[in-house]
Amino acid sequence: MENKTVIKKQSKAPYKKLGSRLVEARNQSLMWLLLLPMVFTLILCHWNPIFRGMITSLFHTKGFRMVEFVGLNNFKDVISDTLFLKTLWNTVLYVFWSLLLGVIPPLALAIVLNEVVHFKQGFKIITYLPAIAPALAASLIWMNIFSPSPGGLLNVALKAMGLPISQWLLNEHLTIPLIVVSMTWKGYGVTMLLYLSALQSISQELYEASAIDGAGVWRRLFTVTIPHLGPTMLLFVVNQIIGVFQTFDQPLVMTGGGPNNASTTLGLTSYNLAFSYMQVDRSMALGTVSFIILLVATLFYFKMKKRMED
Amino acid sequence: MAKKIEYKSEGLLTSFDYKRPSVKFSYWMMIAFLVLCCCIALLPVLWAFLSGFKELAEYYSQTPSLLPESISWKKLWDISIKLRIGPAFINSMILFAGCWVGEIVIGGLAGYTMSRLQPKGSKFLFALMLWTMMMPHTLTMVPMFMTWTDFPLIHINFQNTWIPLWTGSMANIFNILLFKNFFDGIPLSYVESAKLDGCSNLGIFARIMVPLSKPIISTVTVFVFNSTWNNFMGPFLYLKDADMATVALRLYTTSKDWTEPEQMLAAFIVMIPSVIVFAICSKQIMGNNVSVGVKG
Repeated sequence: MENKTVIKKQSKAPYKKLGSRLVEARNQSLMWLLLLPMVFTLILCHWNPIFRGMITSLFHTKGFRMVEFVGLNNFKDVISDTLFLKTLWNTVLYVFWSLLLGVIPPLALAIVLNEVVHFKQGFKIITYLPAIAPALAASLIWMNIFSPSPGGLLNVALKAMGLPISQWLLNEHLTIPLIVVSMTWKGYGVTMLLYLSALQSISQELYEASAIDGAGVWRRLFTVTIPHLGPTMLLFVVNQIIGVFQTFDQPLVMTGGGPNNASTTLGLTSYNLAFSYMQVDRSMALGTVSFIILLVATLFYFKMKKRMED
Repeated sequence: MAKKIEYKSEGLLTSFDYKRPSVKFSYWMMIAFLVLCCCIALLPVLWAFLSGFKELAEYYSQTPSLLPESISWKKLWDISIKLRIGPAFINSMILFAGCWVGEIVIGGLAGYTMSRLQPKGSKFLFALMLWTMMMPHTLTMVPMFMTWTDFPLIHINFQNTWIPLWTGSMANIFNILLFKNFFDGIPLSYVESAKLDGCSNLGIFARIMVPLSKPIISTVTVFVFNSTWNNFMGPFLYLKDADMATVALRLYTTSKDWTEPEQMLAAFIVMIPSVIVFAICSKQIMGNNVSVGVKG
């Protein structure tokens, strides 16, 4: 009896398995069919340019066509270019100024906004408004505010105070900080929301406990609030470095890289090499260099994020 | 007015602290700080509006003033005509419509599939997408331009078509992940009971998921509108035909030769739709923007 049942089970099992396997395979492929357009665009628009750019950087190009394999020659050209170091330094300056202006003020704003009870929603919406302004329009307006002509807002203000007008954006030393001011104006709203949501996750009990232990307002701010925001801030700072390192459209619109290349970034140089000077190979070599720099930063970011989540 | 802070029980400062006059004073200092922040937020826009109405002579005069001598609404109209705002607006809407279909239909389906159906390998795909999202973009623009002007294998130049811009929007990983997260939050029991009643996967998507996901659809719609309305680099590279120019592109290409007051007014006009959309949908924008890549 026992033997028979075993045989029966064995003889039925493979048949059933094959059938369910077929159904399973059909289901799986149908599901992947739904993902197919997305996967296609993912490859086309995200992976294709990275590999294509890197490959192009190894070739000599005519127009947008690759002509001849030249190895690392393009990299040598790009890095030995006299402007390379200046551009790299400019890019670092952008990052430096954006950290100086973009970390503490949004933090202060978020903390204050979290405390206020009067007209809270209104303050929140109005201070967030710059974040939704079209980047191009914002750049144009700031360009005008910093304009060296007597009609620019800052010059109007200087004149009203009886001071001589200034060059602002056309001043080599001021141009990067001023562009960063416009970038920060556009970007701080999102940062503020980021901090605000971290602030709202702080448990009220922590504040109460420290208040009962006799901690004053400042003490509570520095022992409860700021430490709690630490991880968010650190992630934001790294993210900020990665983002600002790729800056290119603000200087493109506001100064075109001038005066005297004082506001060029790696991204803008790469853009100009490809579309203004038709040196696609060099442009891609420069793009690859900054890609690798940023990739290291990104890996660091992921590692840090993982450590924080654990 | 002051009653409100006496009942405040959340945050760093509570009603207990407000019994001290110094804290009460600092509360009003904080309000003053917020008012200052609002001024900083609004000042550039206000300046664009005010200086836009200035006459050229007035703008460049040796004794400039903040306020224009007169605000003539005709100027606003003239600049709109000069910007060719009508056809440009229609073009922007065509761009928006295509991107919307791409992001909602393709992105929504992908998010649904990854969240609910989870075919083998979708976890890997998810990790890959997270990685891809963090990839630097310094190598994107030029190779994409090379790809679209001479598409591999079929050798077609896609310049002056909407396809490069529409396709680009389908690959917006952030929105796909937004969809996925949203679908992850819908209780499984809805799907199971529908399955018991014999609903197919696509039926579940159309009859349960889509009606439930109205909030996420409206959020992504607002994002798509903002990104297409603000995009000038994409149209600049791919839409060389002047008749296809979108509003942002018109602002970028034509306003260079204009006088500064005209430029300001044009920038102000381009800002209006964004502000209107924000006024209507501020909840959607501010509720979900938190994890977008930050800059500034």
